[in-house]
Amino acid sequence: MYSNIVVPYNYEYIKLSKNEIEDCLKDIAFGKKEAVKKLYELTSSQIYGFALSILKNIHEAEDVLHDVYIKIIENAHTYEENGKPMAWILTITKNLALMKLRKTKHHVDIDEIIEILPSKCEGDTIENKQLITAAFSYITDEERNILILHVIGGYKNHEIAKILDLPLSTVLSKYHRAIKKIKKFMSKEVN
Amino acid sequence: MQKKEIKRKLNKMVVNSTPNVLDDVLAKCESENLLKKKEIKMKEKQKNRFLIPKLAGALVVIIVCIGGLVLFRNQNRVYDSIINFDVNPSIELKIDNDREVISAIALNDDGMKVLDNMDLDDVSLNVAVNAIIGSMLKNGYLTVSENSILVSVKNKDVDKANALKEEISNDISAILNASSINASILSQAYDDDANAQNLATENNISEGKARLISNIISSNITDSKGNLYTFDTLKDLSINELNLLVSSKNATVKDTQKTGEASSSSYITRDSARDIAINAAGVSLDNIRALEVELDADDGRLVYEVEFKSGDSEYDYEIDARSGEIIKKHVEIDDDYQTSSGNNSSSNSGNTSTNTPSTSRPNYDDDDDWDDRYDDDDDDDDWNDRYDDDDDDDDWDDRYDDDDHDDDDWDD
Repeated sequence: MYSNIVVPYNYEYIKLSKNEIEDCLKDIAFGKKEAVKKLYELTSSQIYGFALSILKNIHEAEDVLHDVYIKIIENAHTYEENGKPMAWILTITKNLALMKLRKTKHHVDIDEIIEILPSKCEGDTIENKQLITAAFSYITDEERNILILHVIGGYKNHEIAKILDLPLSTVLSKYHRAIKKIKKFMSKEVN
Repeated sequence: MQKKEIKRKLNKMVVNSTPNVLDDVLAKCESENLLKKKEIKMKEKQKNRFLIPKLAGALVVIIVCIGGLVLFRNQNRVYDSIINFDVNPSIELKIDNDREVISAIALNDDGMKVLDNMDLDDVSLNVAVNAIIGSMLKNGYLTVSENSILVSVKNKDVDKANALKEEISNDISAILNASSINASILSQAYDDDANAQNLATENNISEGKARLISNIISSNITDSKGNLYTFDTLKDLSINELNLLVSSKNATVKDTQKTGEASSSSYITRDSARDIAINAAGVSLDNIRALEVELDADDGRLVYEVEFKSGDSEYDYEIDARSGEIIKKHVEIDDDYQTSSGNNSSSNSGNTSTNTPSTSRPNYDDDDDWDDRYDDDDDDDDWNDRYDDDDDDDDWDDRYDDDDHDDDDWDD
């Protein structure tokens, strides 16, 4: 059921939901099952999107999504309330995804991503396909990770810098570059 | 496809393709009894105490980590506006029609320190303004006591220049406000100023500052001797000093908009200047007449011209307005001094001396409001927030996303 919940794409929502996420973590630490559901509703697509960006494999991203929630539930009591619960959650996501990445079994499967994702959005499927192709195979991994964090959560550059452990300046310039490259890729494909 | 649309679509695709693993998660919790009450280590919120170092750190990162000071790469791009920032550091930004930075150049040594290792290439204007102002704050060029900045916007379309000028000034004001600095922002918008352009080249200063100084001179602002200032006298002053000098004369500069007041807290007051001169002359405050204390500029610094008469002498001191040091001293016989009325130096009542009626000019020493603008606000730690919010804005209001310049440096 929850997979069909569309997170409203605006920053106000994300800002407002920060406190809700912290409340969820607190409640999870108290063992409340409802809080897990609520947290899932608020954060699953962000975790999945970020994991997918790092792994470029739908099934592995799904595994990481699962593992991240288990990790959150196990460790919610260690979260220190600082107004940045998503930084904490996405750092867990990054670590688990990177662990997966290092495993020998890991393989990139962009074809499957290009097959599945474009149909999840309205509009011209061919154009959507180009967009996904650009995002997953034209721009660099680092550029995509930055872009995806912008896209899924509207995070600020300094937050992204912290999550990805990159200098703020790199985040700034790579983000702009990613957008430009995608625009250029798409305009080339159209013509 | 526009940036906004790219982001929206990517978001939607990710959201709609997110698999549902909640049931698996809950099942695992159940089977391994993960969901149980645990001892909580949560701390109280410590918002602001950590905000400063963290975000200041982010700022350091932007300044230290990127390479390149002058960006030659995009010389083929056509600029739309030229923006000068002058504090003492002078920086020139060229931006294109999309309001993205084509080049950022330091126009003096201080400017180089501000731009040190910053790569503003292709960055949107408001991000660049934030970075530059942030760096000026960090490097101590903008402080509570040096709070003036000049923003000059040049665009062929004066309306556009004016709008841009307003916007940048408001941005700067907000950034500085959030840093507990009540800024004084001087701003000017213009289409073309050949005179300023020449003066700027000749004197190696920014066109904006050259224009401000020209306008100060042509606004009939005069020195303590009643003469118009020369360009040379003023060109080495910082913007805060120019701003102070103009305010001290209760004057306004033509074609220049001003918000806030220059801080004078780095400078001694008129009264201190007066006392230094009087002490040096070895006379007492009660025995002087025809006192004049005026802020002035000499040799690239602010000075107080203190003139007064005492006994049969006329004193003229020049005192460094920052250090209080006496720079020049001149004493001469007061030709107008009439011994007949002044033979008894104990009296200044019934003095018949013709042109010295104002032994105590009514207002000379309580006019200190211009140096009381130092406003020591309580902490307001969120200027960094402002910086970040702008990053956000940048993502959204980018209406001119058509990327029509060929950007061939991607694959470097």
